[in-house]
Amino acid sequence: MRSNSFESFRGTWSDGRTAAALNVTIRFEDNGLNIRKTEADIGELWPYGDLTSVSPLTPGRATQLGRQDQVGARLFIDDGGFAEKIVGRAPHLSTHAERKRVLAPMLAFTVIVAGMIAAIWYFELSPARAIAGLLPDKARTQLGDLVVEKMTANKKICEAPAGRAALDKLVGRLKASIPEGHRFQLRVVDLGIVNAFATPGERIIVSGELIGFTTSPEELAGVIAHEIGHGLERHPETGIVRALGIGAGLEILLGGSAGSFGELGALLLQLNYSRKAEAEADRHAIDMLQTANISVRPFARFFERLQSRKSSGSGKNANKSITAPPNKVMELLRSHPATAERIAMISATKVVAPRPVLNASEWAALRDICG
Amino acid sequence: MDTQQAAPRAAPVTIDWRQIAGLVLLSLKIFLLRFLTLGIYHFWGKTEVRRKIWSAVHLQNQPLEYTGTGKELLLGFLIVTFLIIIPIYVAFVGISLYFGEGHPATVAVQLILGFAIVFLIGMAQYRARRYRLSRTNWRGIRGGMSGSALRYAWTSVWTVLLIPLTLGWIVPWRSVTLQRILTNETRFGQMPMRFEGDSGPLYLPFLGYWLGFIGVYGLAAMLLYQLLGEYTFFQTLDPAPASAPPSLQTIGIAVFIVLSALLILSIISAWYTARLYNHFAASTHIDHARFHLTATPLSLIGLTIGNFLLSLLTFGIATPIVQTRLARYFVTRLNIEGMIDFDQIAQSQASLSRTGEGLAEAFDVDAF
Repeated sequence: MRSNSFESFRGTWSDGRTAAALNVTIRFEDNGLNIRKTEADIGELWPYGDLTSVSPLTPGRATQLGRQDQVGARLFIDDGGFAEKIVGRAPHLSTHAERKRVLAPMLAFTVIVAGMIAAIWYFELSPARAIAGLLPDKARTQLGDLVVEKMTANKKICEAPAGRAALDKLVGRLKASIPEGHRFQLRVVDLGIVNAFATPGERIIVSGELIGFTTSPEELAGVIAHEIGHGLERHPETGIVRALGIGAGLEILLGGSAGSFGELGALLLQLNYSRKAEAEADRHAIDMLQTANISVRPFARFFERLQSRKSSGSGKNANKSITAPPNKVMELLRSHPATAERIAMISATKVVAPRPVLNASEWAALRDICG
Repeated sequence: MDTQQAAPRAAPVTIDWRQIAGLVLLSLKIFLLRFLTLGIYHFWGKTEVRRKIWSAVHLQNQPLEYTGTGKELLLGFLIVTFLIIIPIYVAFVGISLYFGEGHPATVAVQLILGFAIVFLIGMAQYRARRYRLSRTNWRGIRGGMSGSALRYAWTSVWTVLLIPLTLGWIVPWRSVTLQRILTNETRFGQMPMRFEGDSGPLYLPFLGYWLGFIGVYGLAAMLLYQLLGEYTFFQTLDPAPASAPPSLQTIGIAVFIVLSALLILSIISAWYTARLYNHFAASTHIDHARFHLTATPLSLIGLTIGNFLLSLLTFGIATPIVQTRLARYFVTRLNIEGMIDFDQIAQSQASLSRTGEGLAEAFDVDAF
């Protein structure tokens, strides 16, 4: 079949109007493929530049060609030798050209997505915070109830009347400096670990163990003011929205079921606020303590004690004056890292004419709130 | 020349599978590029795999072509994610936050959303089929679907509601009814496919499937209860059961019972599924030809287990190979009996949508 002057191949041709196929002879010419239906036919020219192929051409494999200006027209050549020859004349059909074509949109999309991630990170944009800010109060309260319910299920709620009265007095001092329209509720629960956290809907939970760990009402006031600070900034809501968003994202990308409401409580315990969020909460705490004329030093000392507990290592050599074993403290440390900057910032604050928060008997009652 | 024209125009049809090379490399490449492009290459990779699979299928010794693009799939995915999935997710979460879990309003809305999702899955299956057919070319002629996804989705929803009410007995009728819609609305160019058959022949196999299922399930449950007593069911409410926990040997026997039950159930299930697929093929006609599939229970089980292990052991990297194996199974076992007059198959007039099957991707109902 192959002549010296024009190499020719056998193939089939369809016109794109019906699924009929005609046997044709295909020759390579200078500017295109010459397709002849019979020997006598002068043939139709398919210019090399107009050729299309769905898949890039692979030498040794069958070739199926289309033509840019004739939708559906097809030329099929089963001979693997054809692909080798045509790639040279129509380089835009090569694997190499295909790669280049795909590379451009791929790079563009990757750059856009990477740019978006970088922008969020660099400008500290927080879509989660914006959404959290939009949540109606009712939804925040519901969410808070849900979390509190999950966290305190099967746990003892501490409400010895005298202790409760002392706690209310302590919180009352702080409340003077909270902007109007906030209704923070505080609850002491026997969690089994030294911890305090804010939930959505302005609920704050302090563990009985944490009250045992503090050495003065001022320390406790500092911790509670810090948690109120988180609440004022809506950090808990933001954390949950973010976690739900990440969960939804993972669900869409990976399929399957990630995260559900049952996990909300556990989720909140695992939330690690950013350094920035911790600093915001500290600033609120300092403001509140200052306005209420409560000494700030004990709050700073609280962190120093946490810090030294951490460096003192395992529980065996622990200082006996501190009631909670270190492993119970680690949880609090993990969620509220006691960094040197924090301690320095708190220590630097001056409080004018500090007045005690509670008297000795009130403080004793509060420490006994869990009975 | 003249003899060629005078020859009978309808021709017997051959369909075969030609082995494709380079699948392992392709799998690795797609995995790597997905990683490097933060996941976006997924859609281009999917397209590459489809082009390979389509090109392996030969009708009259000429391969199918897949003309879809990664960009179409990405656009479809983005549209579905932002217009359907995220709003549903937000509604689902939002309603329970607003009224609280267990509130009648929450339950009502979540029930409605549940049905909406079944409906959307039906839509997804239909639309994905339409997209794939419209991107399938043979001799330059496109495929397509002529009907509406809404009707198919609606049929899928109301028949699903009847499954519990009929103790499952609607299942063969349901499968055939849905398949009939899909087949009768399938076009190759302008030539329709026809579904000629009903669910009658499936009911005897289904009786065996149903009885076998009940029998094995019941027997396994009975044996387990004998063996483990109150430990048969997880007692999360009562943390301190009365009797001592079961011994290791007992647990071993229980595991053996569960595994044997699963094995027997999967054989029964494969036996019915093979009958179902073969019946679908035998009921499918185009022009003067009909399809003939020889799926067998054992080969189906082998395929399923093999593909499962392949996915599992490679953490999904081998997905292109898994999909190719699935396609090869059906194509190599498929024959077309009778004649098709290819000259009479005219090009499709349907316009092409610009976006791919995002919905199917979102609900994970696309096989390839």
